[in-house]
Amino acid sequence: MTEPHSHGKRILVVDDGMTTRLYYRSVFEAAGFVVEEAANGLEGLERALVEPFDLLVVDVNMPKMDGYTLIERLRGDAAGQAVPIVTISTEAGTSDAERALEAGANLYLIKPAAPAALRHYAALMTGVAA
Amino acid sequence: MSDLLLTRFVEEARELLQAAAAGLLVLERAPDDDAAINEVFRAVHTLKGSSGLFDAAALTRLVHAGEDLLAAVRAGEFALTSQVVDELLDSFDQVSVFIDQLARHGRLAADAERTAAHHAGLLRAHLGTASGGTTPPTPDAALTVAPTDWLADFDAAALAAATARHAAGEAILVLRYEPDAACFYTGSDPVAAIQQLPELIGLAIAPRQPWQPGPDFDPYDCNLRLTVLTAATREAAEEAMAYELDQCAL
Repeated sequence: MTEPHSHGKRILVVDDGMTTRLYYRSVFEAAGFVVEEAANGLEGLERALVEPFDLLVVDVNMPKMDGYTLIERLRGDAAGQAVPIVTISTEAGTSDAERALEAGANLYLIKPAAPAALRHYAALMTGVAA
Repeated sequence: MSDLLLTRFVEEARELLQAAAAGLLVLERAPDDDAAINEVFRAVHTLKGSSGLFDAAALTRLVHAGEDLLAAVRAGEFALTSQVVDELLDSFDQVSVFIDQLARHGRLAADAERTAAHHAGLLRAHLGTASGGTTPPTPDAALTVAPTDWLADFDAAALAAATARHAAGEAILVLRYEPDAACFYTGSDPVAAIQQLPELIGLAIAPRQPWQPGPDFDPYDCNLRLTVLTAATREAAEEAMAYELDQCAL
């Protein structure tokens, strides 16, 4: 396997499942992204408010703070208005997707999201040539 | 999927199952402990999300049934009893067995679908009878609406009998059962199983695929589809076919 060219774009993965975080990490790192992790919504919010990221990947149902709240709080702060956010949840209902988009997410995907889809959207949302 | 990911999943799943079991033991003594309900629900929800990354549909299905039941408890639609707690613990023990199978062999055992369907059926049975509670349709629901071309398998006499009973005001179910191709190796008798259905009106047996000619024909491979017409209620049919429900549609 050839070493991917790193373009240095940073993704923050916010999910309480450690397997899921490792999955996202391996998928995104293979596409040249730098990946950081947060294990719950509150930790994700705190990091996203003080560190620069090019993309947030956010689960919905998490301890301490759910994904909707994280996104709303982040969008309510000057530091968090511009970063693109993709929500990825096991909930397949349209109301869940609407709620995430209303909170300020840019995209809603359903778990498990395939590697090709993750890389495609990450490239698109961070302006990296896929 | 990489070995590293599977190793991580096995590790995470064991931790989550332990947390779920610990929470359930608290709930057995204090069924209204909201913190414990949330903890168990969260563990099970996270496990479901992670398991979807692997080729382990039976495991995900069973975890999903547990999650739906816990969601109903959390929403106050269903009260936990010690019997239900025991069933949840049994189901999670079975999930542990699945995790061990994945850890050792990288896949689930051949009878995993059947075992998962049995446990999931027990858990889902509570949701069906929860007073005031509604079961939201799930994407992997075992039962789907029967297409009308299933009736093509029946002879005229069976159709006439079903039509007559329908005209008399009875609801007629069409149920199709496609047994696992390897079912003869696991001691299943599909024809006997489907005859357990109450109120049977007609039974049609047809090959799923055209029979393989000559030397390619494997007499031990189950290539059957069994379709029945029954005046049984949906609940009764689901109960009778609980062990085979994942291979049925009606």
